[in-house]
Amino acid sequence: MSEPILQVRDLGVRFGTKRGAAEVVNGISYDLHRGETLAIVGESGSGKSVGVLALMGLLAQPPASVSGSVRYHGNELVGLASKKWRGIRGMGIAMIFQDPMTSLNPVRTVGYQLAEPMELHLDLKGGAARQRAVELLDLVGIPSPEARIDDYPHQLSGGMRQRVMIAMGLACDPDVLIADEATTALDVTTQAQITELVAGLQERLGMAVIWITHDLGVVASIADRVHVMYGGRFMEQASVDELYAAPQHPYTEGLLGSLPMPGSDRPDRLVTIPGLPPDPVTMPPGCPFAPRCGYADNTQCTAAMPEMALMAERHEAACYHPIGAGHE
Amino acid sequence: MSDPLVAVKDLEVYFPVRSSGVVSRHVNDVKAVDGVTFEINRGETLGLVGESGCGKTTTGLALLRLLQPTGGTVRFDGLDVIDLDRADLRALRKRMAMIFQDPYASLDPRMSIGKIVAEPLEIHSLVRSRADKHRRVGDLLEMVGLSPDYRNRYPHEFSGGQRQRVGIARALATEPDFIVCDEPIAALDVSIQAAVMNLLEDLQRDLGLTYLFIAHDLSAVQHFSDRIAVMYLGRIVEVADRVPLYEEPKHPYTDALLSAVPVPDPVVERSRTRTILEGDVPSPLDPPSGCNFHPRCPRAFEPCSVADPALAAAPEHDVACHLYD
Repeated sequence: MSEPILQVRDLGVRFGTKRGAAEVVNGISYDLHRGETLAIVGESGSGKSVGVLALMGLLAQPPASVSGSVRYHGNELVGLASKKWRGIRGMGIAMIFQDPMTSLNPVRTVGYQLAEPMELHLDLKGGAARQRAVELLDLVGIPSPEARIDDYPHQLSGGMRQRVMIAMGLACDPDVLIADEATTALDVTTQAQITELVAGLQERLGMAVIWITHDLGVVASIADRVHVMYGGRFMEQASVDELYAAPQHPYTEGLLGSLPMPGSDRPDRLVTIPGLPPDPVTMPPGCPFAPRCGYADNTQCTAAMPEMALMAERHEAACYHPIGAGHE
Repeated sequence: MSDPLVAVKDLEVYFPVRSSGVVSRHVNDVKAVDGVTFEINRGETLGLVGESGCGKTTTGLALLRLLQPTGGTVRFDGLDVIDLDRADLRALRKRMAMIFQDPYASLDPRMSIGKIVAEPLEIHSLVRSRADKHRRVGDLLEMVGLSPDYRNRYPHEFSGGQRQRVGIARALATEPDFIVCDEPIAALDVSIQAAVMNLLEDLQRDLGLTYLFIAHDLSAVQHFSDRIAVMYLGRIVEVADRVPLYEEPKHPYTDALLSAVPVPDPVVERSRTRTILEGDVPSPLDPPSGCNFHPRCPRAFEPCSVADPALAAAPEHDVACHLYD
């Protein structure tokens, strides 16, 4: 297999708070290969967004402190000087943010906002930048881009704004695109348009995509590999087929069981996960999921975090009592 | 079959648009709800689905007369909700409640949750003494799975799921017959959503409640509802029992909506063909002619741009589409 574009090793993010240090991301590791779609799934507060913000060097330090290593084409990104970031952020790694309503500048036209990264990174000026902006709007499926380019964000619908965000992400031909809950604020019909669009662009441009989401339905339709995150740690990682067919971690099992399945055969009740996600300041020792886990014991689980262990080919889980081992 | 609890006929909610300037003239209407008809039977859950801006929340608000409809009728247990005077409306409101979408915005941050839950009891004079109120609030909190000891805490001390439980307790305070649930789980995390849905189901069974369940998430609506109404741009395009709606959707919009819902199963996802709708929902200020779905409809033909299809009352499965004329 070829060299991964992105190699994340033992990435950790800690925030100093009045109540003490909050361990928001705790030792996550993954590789991202060319053309691959990797999904990081987790609930709010699981650390999934902070993890990619750290990777992008977008966390202010302090209050955050980032540890571990992120290698992009072999170059270390953690601790990189802000000047050097310029050539990477937007150029090599681009990000689409969650809320297209708030992440565009309301007092600038779409064209201005699209041209800005190209002027900065590609040294395209005036007409040339505008020409490329029109091409990009066309690429992301915005009808009559020559007219739309002079619109302000408020003149566009949510789906159109998200398309503009994607166009901005693509402006400088990145080889890694990070989509942080890029479809969460959108209607299902628009969500389907956007996921289809990103998949099509990925095929044409050969980008690798990291898709951050809480929606296991979206993940099933787009991802190659999935990492399930909880309490700042990866709990399970597998190919998308493996994960849905044979989840190993009790948390993954709970998440899948709590989804209402579209279909005519309805279970009487949804599976629920009791309790609440942990507070990062008072993280329980041992496995962060142990207090909510139906399989947890009082010895191992509450004492130390289990190591990621191989469950099947390219399928790992961090659990002392994985589902496949048989319970009861 | 007994009378339906809620009967809505030709409901219209138009918001006037006025020209700016010194003399403001009425220039147009936003037709948020444009001729909606449906019935909800006692003890039933009717799901109302559609994209944002299709008028589903406005419909819910108009049912409770939290918004004054500009046309049509709403009958609740035989009473005409639209023509009631203030005193009668107040008496009727005791029997209807609403659970709101955003548990962060729908609870007053300066009131303890005990006060929040007690407020409807006081307004409708349903408690005689302080001890009575204390007991009733405790019961309500317990009913939604919160400890009565939490009564003196404030909303910010609770998680989203717990806040939504407070909102549910408040809705249950007056022992209503009918609750409009407006996207009650949309703002919650996946693992919490299931718990809130189970709670709403248990309450319905134990208290014999009737629900209008408004959501954009078709899989949640399907899990929860007995019948489902699909709404597009202020109109209902299809109404059917949950199974036929899923297995044989008739309206092309329902079909597209179903196909847009991602299925949490990668094997199914790869094998199914998806109908992806082009474009966006048109503006309700200037809806398209004829069937207002026709510019996005993959199966549109000549009559669609000319005539507006009526919701044909076929047995058990109503659809408003020229394909079935």
